[in-house]
Amino acid sequence: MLIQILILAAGVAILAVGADVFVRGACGIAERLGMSPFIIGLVVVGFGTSTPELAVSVGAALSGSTDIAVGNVVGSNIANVGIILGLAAVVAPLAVRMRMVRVELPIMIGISLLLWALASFGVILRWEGVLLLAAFGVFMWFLLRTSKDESKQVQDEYGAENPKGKASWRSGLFIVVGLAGLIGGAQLAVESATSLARLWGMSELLIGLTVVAIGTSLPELASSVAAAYRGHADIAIGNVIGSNIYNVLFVLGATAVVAPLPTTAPTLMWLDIPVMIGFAVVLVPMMLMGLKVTRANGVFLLLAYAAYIAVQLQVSSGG
Amino acid sequence: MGDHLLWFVAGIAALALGADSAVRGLAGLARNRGVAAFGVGLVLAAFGGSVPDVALNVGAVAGGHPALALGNMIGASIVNLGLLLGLAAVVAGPLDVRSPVLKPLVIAQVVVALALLAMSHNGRIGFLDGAVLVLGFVALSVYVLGFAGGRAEPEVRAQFEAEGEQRSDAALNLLRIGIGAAILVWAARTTVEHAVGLAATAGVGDLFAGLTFVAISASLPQIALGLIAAVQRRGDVLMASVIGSNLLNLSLVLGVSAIWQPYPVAQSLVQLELPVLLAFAAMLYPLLRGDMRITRGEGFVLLLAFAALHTYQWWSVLR
Repeated sequence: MLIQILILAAGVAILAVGADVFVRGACGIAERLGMSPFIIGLVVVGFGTSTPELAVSVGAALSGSTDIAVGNVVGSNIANVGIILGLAAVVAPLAVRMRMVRVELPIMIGISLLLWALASFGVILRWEGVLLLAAFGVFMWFLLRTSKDESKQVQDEYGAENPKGKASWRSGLFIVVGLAGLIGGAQLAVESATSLARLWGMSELLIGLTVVAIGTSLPELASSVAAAYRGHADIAIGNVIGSNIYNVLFVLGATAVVAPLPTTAPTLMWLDIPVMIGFAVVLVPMMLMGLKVTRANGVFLLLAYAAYIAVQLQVSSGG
Repeated sequence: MGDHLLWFVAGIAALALGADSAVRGLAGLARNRGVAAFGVGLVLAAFGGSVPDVALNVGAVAGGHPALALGNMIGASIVNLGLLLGLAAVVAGPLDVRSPVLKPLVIAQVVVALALLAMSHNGRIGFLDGAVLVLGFVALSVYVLGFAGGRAEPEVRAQFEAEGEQRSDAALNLLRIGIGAAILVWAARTTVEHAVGLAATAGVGDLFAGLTFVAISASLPQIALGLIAAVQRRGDVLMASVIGSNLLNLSLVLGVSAIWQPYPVAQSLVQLELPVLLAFAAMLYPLLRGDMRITRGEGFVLLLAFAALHTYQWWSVLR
């Protein structure tokens, strides 16, 4: 059992390092291609830090344990708001732009509701995965198109997050090594988490919701907290909202194309997904009030997350 | 399939024609007997639109398809709140409502939806439930007539008086009523028979048919009239039509039918459509609070919610 825990920790560590290396490589390539700093920041930070979730979910689906895929995405989305946004706001209050409340946040709420609707059928089919991927394409197109209207200040802010351009062969190497670390680490994490779940008699869903979800969110956690500390609130919030949208559309979409995903896990429909929607909806009044996520809001998010995990443990050990 | 579709469309068109003729005849006769134009207009606006629904309901219950009737009543109410109100606000711009009597009726609608949800929990709407619904409707009518007679504002009065102007020749009106009633009887039977046939060939149940395509098609005349009222800036007439026909359908018609013969209520109705109806009814209260106005944006949200519901319903049977 100790060995399994060590393997899990090692897998999660490799994942985090792999994501970081991958993101730096992607930044270098993107700069070479002459993309704007804003696009690099939003796409690379948000999307790149979601690649661990993609690797874990697709890896799980390929090895036949599809139960963990939906649980992982839902748990990761809850952790993104509860832990990452909560912690980032505690580190430094986050100023919010109106656009975030008017555009990206409603999209995130709508996508959470869409996942609930899809999950209510008991299984997410292959062609529904294709639809999710198509929606992801539309969303990316929309992001790139509207990014031209972004203010100069925001573009500078995002641009500052990215390492300076490196030689392209080095960036390419970073991408390859990073991806290898992501996939290898994901494999290790899923395998050890699954065997731990069986050892402790826990459901795979619960492990997906807690250990793996937090583990795969570590890259987001590191980058968001660092961004908040340096006063780049847009990046911290954009990263969380962007990741949550990518997780459902891209990660679940791609995973469902690999193998149909059952959504019959016992607490998914009435607890986990509603909590995920609740965490998305509660951001609306928080952000509208003074266009700011305060320290108190951050503490609230962290406490709400702790309460959710407590309920989750209670339910899974009791029933 | 083709035959059923043809006869269904013919039945729907005949329902609209018959209802129009009968309603005009009744209104004209009332004017002939000396009823004030305001009173005639009020009743016409509130209940005129649901004549096709009532005829359909009687036809479906008498023809042994209570699920179709129940589905149509609930489906038509959701169509009124989501499609009609949403479309009217989006097409004609902000809808202003001036009459103070509409506010308690908005709440009454929420109460009725809540009552239906509570009554349905044992899987049927029976004799006692029906009696409660009918008594509630009677109490509400007495209240509204007392209210409207005494305290209608001149502007509101003018809106409804315009509705109530009809030719008052007694013989002509009796003829209109006779022809209208005859058409309605034939149309209700034809529509029900071929709606059931359509549902069977499409592989969906009576309940589903009533909730979706039957509800929308039978509401088309009411939608057309509602849009005209909205464009002519008669917001009170539109609102009276929506709330009046919903209250009539959900309390009086459903109540009388349940007294005559209990309705079996499917579990899916309790889980999806009745809560959705409640949500739509409850949404009106904050929309109207304060400014008594439904803006374009709010109309768009109503339309979006309606589209989401119907997409979900079709998705769940087509997959």
